[in-house]
This record gives sequence, C-alpha cells and structure tokens, in this order.
Amino acid sequence: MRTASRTTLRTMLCSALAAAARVAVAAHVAALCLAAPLAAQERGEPRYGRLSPEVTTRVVTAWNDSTARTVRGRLELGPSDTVPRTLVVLDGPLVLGGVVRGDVIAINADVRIDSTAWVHGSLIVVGGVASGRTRGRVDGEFEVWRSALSYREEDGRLVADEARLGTRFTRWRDERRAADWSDVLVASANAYNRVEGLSILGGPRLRLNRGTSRITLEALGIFRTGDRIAWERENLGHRLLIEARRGSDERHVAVGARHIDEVDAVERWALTDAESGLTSLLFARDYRDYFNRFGGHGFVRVGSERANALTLSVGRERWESRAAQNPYAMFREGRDWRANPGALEGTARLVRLTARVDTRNDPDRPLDGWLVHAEYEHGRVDVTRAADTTRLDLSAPSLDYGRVFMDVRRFNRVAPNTSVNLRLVAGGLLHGDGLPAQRRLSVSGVDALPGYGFRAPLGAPDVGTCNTTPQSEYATLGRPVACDRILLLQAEWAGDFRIALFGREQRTDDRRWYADGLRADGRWVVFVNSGRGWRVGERDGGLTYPRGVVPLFRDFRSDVGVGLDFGYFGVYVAQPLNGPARVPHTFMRLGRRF
Amino acid sequence: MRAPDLSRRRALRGIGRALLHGSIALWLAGAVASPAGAQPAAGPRVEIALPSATSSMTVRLRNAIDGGRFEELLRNGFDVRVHLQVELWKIGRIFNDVVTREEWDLLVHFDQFDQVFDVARLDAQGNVTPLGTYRRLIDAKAALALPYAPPIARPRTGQRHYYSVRADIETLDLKDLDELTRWLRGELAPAVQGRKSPGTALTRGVRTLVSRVMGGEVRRLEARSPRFVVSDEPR
Repeated sequence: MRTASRTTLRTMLCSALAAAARVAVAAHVAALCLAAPLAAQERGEPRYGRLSPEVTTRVVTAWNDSTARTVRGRLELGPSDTVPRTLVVLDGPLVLGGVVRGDVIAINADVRIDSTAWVHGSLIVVGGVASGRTRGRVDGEFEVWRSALSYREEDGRLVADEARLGTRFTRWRDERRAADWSDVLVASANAYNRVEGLSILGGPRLRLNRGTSRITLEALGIFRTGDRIAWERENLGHRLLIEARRGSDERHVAVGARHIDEVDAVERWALTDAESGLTSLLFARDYRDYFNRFGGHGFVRVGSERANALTLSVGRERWESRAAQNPYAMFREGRDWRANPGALEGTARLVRLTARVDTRNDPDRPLDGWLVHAEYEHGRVDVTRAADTTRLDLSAPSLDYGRVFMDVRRFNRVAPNTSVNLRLVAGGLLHGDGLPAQRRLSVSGVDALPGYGFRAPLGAPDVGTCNTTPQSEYATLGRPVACDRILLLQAEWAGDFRIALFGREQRTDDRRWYADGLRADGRWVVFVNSGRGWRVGERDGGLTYPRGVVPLFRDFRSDVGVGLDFGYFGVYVAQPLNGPARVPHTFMRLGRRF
Repeated sequence: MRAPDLSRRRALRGIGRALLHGSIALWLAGAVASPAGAQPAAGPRVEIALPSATSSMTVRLRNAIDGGRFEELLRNGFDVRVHLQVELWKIGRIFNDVVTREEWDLLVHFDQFDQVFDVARLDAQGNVTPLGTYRRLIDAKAALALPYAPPIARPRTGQRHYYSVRADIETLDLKDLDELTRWLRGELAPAVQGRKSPGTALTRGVRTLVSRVMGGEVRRLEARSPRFVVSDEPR
C-alpha cells in the first residue's frame, strides 16, 4: 500500500510539474503564435478532413494487435488504475484518469482526460472529442481527429472501410451522369393562361446513352383544364419527340423530329413565362396572345444544350385561332379576361434558323458576357380562313414572308459593385407579302416600356402596338399587336446595396438573403428604355415606312426609372418621357429585368 | 376648362407618388452600409485569402448551413450541396473582365443507419475528395469550412485584379422553386418525377418561394476580395 501511495504521490508530483512546464511551453508557443501565423497543428488540437492513411493504419493495427488491451464501449480508468500496455477503446467513451504504460487509442470515442492521467506513449483520438487536453500528461504524440473511422469487422478483426465515403459520392456523381434513364413526366405544358387554363403535360420519356451518342424519345400528352374539366378535343394535345445526338452536353450535333398539337404564345420574348403565368393565375391579367399549332418538323442542332447553339428546322404546321376561356383566377375582382386576338389560319410551310449565344458568367445574375437570341423564319401559308382582324389583305390564297428577330443583351461590370447592361430587341418583316397576325410585334408592357400601360395607346400614331382602329373596337378585338417591325433599346446602371434593418453591420461579402433577422442585399437599378414599332409600306403620317427606312429616334417612345432588385423579385418606378399620359408607373418583376 | 386642371392635378399626384416611391427607395438605400470593413463574427459567409508569392488563393466557407432549415432537412435524409464558383476579374480602363473561373461542389450526407455525416468535395472534373465522416454535425460543418485552394490560374503581374466567389447552397432533391418556375414557364424539365404529385409540387413551390425569400433551403453567398496587384512572379 505504502509503495502504491508513494507511486501515486510521485505520479501526481510529476503531473503537476509536467502541467506547469506545459503551461510555460504553451504560453511561449502562444506568444509565438501571436507573432506569426500558426504553422503546425497544436498538440491535441482537433483536426478536420479525411483521416490520414497513416493514422488509419495505426489505429486499425493497434486494435488488431493481440498484445494491446482492447475495450469495446465505455471505459473509466481511475487514478489508481494502471494499464501496462497499449489501450485501445472502440466506440467509447473513455475517461482517462490513471496510468497507461503504452499508447492510448480511442476509435470513434470521446476521451475525457483527468489531471491524474499519464500516458507514457501517444494519445490518438479518432472520431471523437478530447476534453481536458491541458490536464494530465501525455509523453508521446497527442492527436485528435474529428473524422470517424469507417470500418467493418471480419473474423473479429477490424478492417478500415475508408473507400465507402468516396464510393458514396462517386455513385451520387455517376447517377447524375446516368447512362440510361426513363421516367414518367408530369409538368405544365405552358404558363397558366386564359385560353388553356392549366395545361398538364404527361407521358413517358426515355433516354439511351451509348458512349457519346444519345437517343431521346418522348411521347407526351397534353390536357387543358380550360374553364371546365372535360375530355374533349379542344382540351387535348400532344408533343412527340425523337432525337439522336452525338457529342457531349457542351458540344454536340443533334438530329431529330417533333410532332406537336399545342398552344403557342405570340411574342414570347416580351415577358418571362413565370411572370405571365403568375399574373394570369393571380389577377386574371394575361399579357400574351395565343394560337394553336398542329404539325411536325425536323431539325438539326449544332452546339450545346444551354449555351451556344445553331438550330435549323423545316416543318409544316396548321395554324388556328383559339378563343379565350374563363379559367380560375385567385384575385379576380370581377375582372373579365381579355379576348384572345384572332390568328391567321391556314397551313404553313416553315424554315427556321435559330442561333443562341450565351457567354454570361452567371445565368441568374450575370455581370459579364453576351446573351444573343436570333431567329430567321421563312413561311409560306396557304390561308384557309382570315380570322386576322387587323389589316392584311388576304384576298390572295397564300402568304409568303420572311421574318427576323433578335434579342441581344450585353452585361458589363464597370466596377466590382457596379454594372452597366444593354439590350437591343429588333425584328420584323424582312421580305414577302406581310406578316401573319401571330408573327407581328409590339413595343409594349413592363418588359419593353414599363412607363406606359400594356398595349395602351402611345399617342397618335400609336407606335407601341401600331393599332389604327378606334380604341373601343380595339379592346373588343383583344388589343392585337400590329407592327411589322420593332426596335427597342434598353440600358441599365446597377449597383449593390445592403439593408440591415436590425443593426448595422459592416461586411465585405454579399449575401442576397440572410436568415437571422431581416437583412437583404440587392441591387439598385437606374434604367432607360426607348423603342417603337412601325408598319412597312408607303410612308404615311408616322406609322408606316418603306422597307429600307428606319424611323428617326425622335419618334421613339422613352421612359426612365429606378428600382430595387432583391434577386427573386424587384420593385421599380418608371416615368414616361413622352406620349399622352406622363404618369409614373410602379411595377414588379420576378427576377431581373433582363 | 376643367379638363386641363384635372390632368394637371393627376400629373401632380403622379409626381407626388413618384417622389414618395423615390423617398422610400432612398431611405432604404440610406439604411445601407456598404463600406469595406471587418467581417462579422458569425453568420454564413465566404472568405477569400489572396495569393502570395508562395501560396495560392484560398476560399473558405464559414457557417454555410447555419440557420434556416438545412440541419433539419439534412437529418431527414436530404443531402446538402454547396456549389462554389470563383472568378478572377481584371480591372480594365472601362470594363472589368473575367480572366478565368473554377467551380467545385461540397456535399454533406447524413447516414441514417450509422448516424454519421459524410462530407466530400467534387471538382469540376468529377473527382471526389472525401473530407471525412463525422459523428457530430458541428464537426461536419467545420469540415465544410476547411480552406480550399482551387486550381485557378495565377493573375498576371502588374495588373489590377480581384476575386469574386459565389456559393449556392441548396438541399438536393428539393428544388421546389425550380419546379414551380418550370410549371409556370411550361418547360419540359420534370416538375414531378414519379413520386410527387403536380399539386403538391405547386404548393411546395409556393411555400419554398416564401421560405427562400426568408432564407430557407437555398442560400446564395457572394464575396469579393479587395483589389490587388501581383507585383512579382511566384518563386
């Protein structure tokens, strides 16, 4: 007993001296650390990241070593306890208060070190926390790895299974690049609108990959809810696709064919689908017009899925008008849906060349790069019915036209927190007899000239929609667009701002939305828009110009405005600079203006 | 005689309204503090360490999944993915241009069976680097915050540059807003793939829209470094 107590006393004395020495050394080290960045890991400091192969081997070997004392589960080593060899604890915890004359290895276990602890060898903690690391005494290395050991047991021996972690994520990655897949798709075929209501698209899709080649098959049916759910011809449609592709997503050549029976929007460029769908669903305000397309076309595409691509398609379609239904809207307040303007009806043979260039650094919030969408369409329409209520002379049985359209956007960062962005939208009749109603254009609405009302007259002549009929009749027709050509220029100057309603905080980072408290980062925007549409023909009082003439800038309608863009939505005020009613308009956009 | 008065009054009212709106905007802008200053002590953020003569630039993501519903969703089996993109910008006479960029992903997965959190990094080439398996979420978060030196080209000597880093943090398999957006714009991308109904996709979409606006399951962090000039080639 006396020997034991003497030993304990000596142990305690040594521990105290060692602790004092450690404190002195720690203070010295701390002073050095203050003077220079910490270069090496401190003793017992937790380490993050994958376990090093050496540590993995060491702890596994220690457990499998028959000379070591191995304990599974909780172990408490009191001040009077002594372990004469290496101690390995699996799944702990371990309370270390006694003496270990070898190494102490804790696998996936927390370790509490008491002041009476003395480890003659090294202390390695894997997948656990070591508390009291300034107490006790460790003569050898002292390492704490927070990452746990992945293992399995074979015949009572421990085998490291570190590959499991890599395999899991490799599998996840490979699933994303899945070779073949098929699914049943249910989606909306179109933005919610007044001629279809909710159009539901459903059916099987199949994708087969063989090396760099891919075949895609889709057979999707469309059901439209309209203003009443009924299984009838008018409410049904389809999209069929077969496409063969060679190359990667980024660079490929694709050949395919589509057959469609669907409703398409006139002037899809002027507002995003999400905005059009939401305003329809919420307020019964549908800012688009629609017509029906039935037919097929073949296509060849060169380029990538999302960035740069050139597509040539040749097809034959039957065009029909669609009447507005009376679908549900959440906050209707007695408002009637706008009539859907009539379309030119007939069979059209179409050749279309579409180019897309996208060099933006970020598709959601671009700060640099180009986004160009350009399209040329040549059509020959065998007219069956002139539901076209505007102005085209349809005494001829067919209509031949060439139409070009381009939307060019340039994003420039002029300083780290400021950008100047430009947009040009131009298009219209290039050659031929005239444009079908569904191919005409306008410069109107919050996307083009937000300072002016949607298809409201922009003075006489009306250079926004090119309408010449009296307003009451025009409203009855559903306010159809009637311009042969348009030109729209938009510029915006934007910079970052920060709001901290609850406490001011100085930061250099840029967080768009932040959860704790009400803080929002966004952009302030100052913008100017200018544009007009015109008809092609013999020059008249300012609405019609010959083919080779572009109207003077002084005849353009312009507005200026300011706004705050919060990322997912933006609030703006626009002031018209000319025209009959110079009243500022407040409007909201989902996402950026362009 | 009355018509001009009316229109004038209407115009004045309009200008008044515009002034009111402008004042609100200015007040909001006035509440803004944007000078470069010290980093906050806590909260999700991206930190950029500039390159030196001997070291590369590093990116560090602090407290990326703190707050919001990330932890709850993670424990319920939804992996968290952080997509990071670093861009090196050159300051020109008029415009700033992107010189080069690099992308990578960080992933956190909760293993329900073993009750551990797995963390890994995926680079643009698809190489997987495991960052450890952790029994505590706090440790998994620390692993997520390990500094990383992306293999981005060094800036050229003598020109003014800065780095811009973007981190999109999202819960995998819960892209409700995307679903809603696709529904509304009528894209062919799957709103529902087999197991979800269109109605719930729409409902969840609206919920998630609100949730995201309040900083829910998707978070974007951005950071810019100070402008710097590399004066010497690395030794």
